[in-house]
Amino acid sequence: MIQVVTILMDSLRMLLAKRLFWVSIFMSALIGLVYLSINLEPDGMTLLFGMEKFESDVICSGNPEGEWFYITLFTSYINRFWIGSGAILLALISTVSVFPEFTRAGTIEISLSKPVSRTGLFFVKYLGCMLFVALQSLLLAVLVFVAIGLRLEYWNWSIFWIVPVLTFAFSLIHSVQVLVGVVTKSSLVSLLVGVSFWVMVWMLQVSEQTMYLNSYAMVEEKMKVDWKSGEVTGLDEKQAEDLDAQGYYKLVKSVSAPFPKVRDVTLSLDQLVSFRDSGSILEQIDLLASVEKNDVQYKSQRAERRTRERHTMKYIYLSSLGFECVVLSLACFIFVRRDY
Amino acid sequence: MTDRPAAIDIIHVRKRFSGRVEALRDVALSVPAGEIFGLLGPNGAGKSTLLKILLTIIRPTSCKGVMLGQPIGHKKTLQKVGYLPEHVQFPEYLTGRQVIRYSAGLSGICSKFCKKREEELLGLVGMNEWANRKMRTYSKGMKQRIGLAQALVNDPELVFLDEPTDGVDPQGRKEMRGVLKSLRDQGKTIFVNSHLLGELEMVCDNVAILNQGQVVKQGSMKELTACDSAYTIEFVGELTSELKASLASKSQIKLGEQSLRVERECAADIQVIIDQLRAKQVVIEQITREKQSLEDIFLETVQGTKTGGYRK
Repeated sequence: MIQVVTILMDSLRMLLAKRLFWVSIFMSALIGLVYLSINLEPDGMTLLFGMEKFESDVICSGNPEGEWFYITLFTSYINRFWIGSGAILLALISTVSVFPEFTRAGTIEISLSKPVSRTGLFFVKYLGCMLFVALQSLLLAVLVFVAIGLRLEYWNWSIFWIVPVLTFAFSLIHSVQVLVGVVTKSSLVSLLVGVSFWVMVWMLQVSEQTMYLNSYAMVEEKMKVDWKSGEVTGLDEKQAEDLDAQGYYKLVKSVSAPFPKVRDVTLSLDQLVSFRDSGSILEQIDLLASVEKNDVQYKSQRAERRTRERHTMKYIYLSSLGFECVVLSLACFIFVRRDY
Repeated sequence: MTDRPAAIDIIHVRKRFSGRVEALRDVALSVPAGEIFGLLGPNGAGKSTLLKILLTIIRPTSCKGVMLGQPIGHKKTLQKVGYLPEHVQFPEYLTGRQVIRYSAGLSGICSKFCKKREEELLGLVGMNEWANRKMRTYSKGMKQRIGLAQALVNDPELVFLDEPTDGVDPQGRKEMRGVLKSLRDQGKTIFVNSHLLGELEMVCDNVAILNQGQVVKQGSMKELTACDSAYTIEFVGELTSELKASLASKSQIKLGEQSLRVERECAADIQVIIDQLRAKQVVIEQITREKQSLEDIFLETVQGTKTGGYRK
């Protein structure tokens, strides 16, 4: 136990010594504070704790659209852009050097000459990197939790899903960086491979999603996209049967299946963080579409929703976890077997 | 070698790296407990590899033997072992005190014992004033001092020091020798790898010379340096022809103008020659004992061999 605490303490000291750690903390705090600074008032909304005022009859307190707007700021901007990409990228850059520096000649020898198993050393060091994202996301979660509590007057504990989800999403790419770091002992190569891998899995996921939309969801709704004009048009029964793009989708799905679903993991926050029904008309559009309307616009929305829900949470998390376990096991095996 | 029990007793130690380099070839070594043991060898002879095998940093191709009564590779035994690596690099974000605590923590030492111990050690290596400064502000010599302190934090029975005086100034070297001797007096075993033969000669009780992955000479300092000792007797005046003929008949005596050199003799044997000279009224001006230095032994042993590991 003393050994575990020692390695974690060392990880914490290393993080505190890194400038990028403080940049990440500052960015998370800034985003959280800006969100907290937005207030809904009876005649509109204020920004920066009342320094700027925007008058509105729609976005205001006591109006369901005001609450919808405040929640959408979190789900569509903070979640998509900061949690889904900015925070992970900064964390990847900050922690990429942990294993290459740890395995450097003259440094690793002291740790390996102690009565600590190499496997234990490897995994506790890896956990130390998780601390980086956990601390940063905890700060953001607390600020968003307080913001929603104060502005919408209810305490939404599901906001704290941000911490494990963001940490897990980060760990999926970081495991690749660790493997490359252990093999090459180079921070630069690890970073390049890690970020390239992230881009690659993102493209795979977007391709898979787009192909599902066009091969399944839209066909079921008897629609197709005209790729020349970009317009969505309707299909009759015969045309829908003739369309056969499912083979390509199955190919892309089988290729992407073993890879981590980083994008889907961060998007799963939309389901995990549950908000109360604001009662806004804007929130109801999709629901109405599936019940009554049948024109192209409503069908498209229904197809998109079906696409979003094409994978279960279990599939997303377990397949990603499986990938991480395989990569980490390989990295650990190399770390344990290598001569230093 | 002494009759003390061995802190390290190993045989058949082999290590083959990829590229057919045999770093160690059937090494056998015995390190007596409670003594200072020096391992010498040219660059690439396999000294650090041997040390790293004992400390589980490198996996041997084969190795039989024990360290502190336990088989080589037994992790728990490392709780009683201290280590200062060659070219040690501590994380720059740590202070000297934190480096010592990190080493203590990994050895499983509780913080209460560690706090007391770190003060003692910082005093021992003369780093009290600098203990709370970051490693990046330290000179190479200061890093070595902190390195020595962290190696001793678990109060080890066996200490491995790989080039401990590397980058240390003469004053620091003298202090380091004092520390090593005091550790030996406390009953600890010290295993030193060094190129600085003069340094080793001053402190080591036993040495082994490793060359191209093999132990080519091993023994106590007394045995190794005494086997090639010689006495030079300087005298005044002329020797009689009878005396000259008598001395010249002995193969170990070489006659000079005003001196004679007696090789490979002990002090008792030399008395007969002194008696012979004095019987003929020869005035003896000076008798000096010439011992072969460790450097002489080392150079004689490795002369003509290439540096680096043995390549098949």
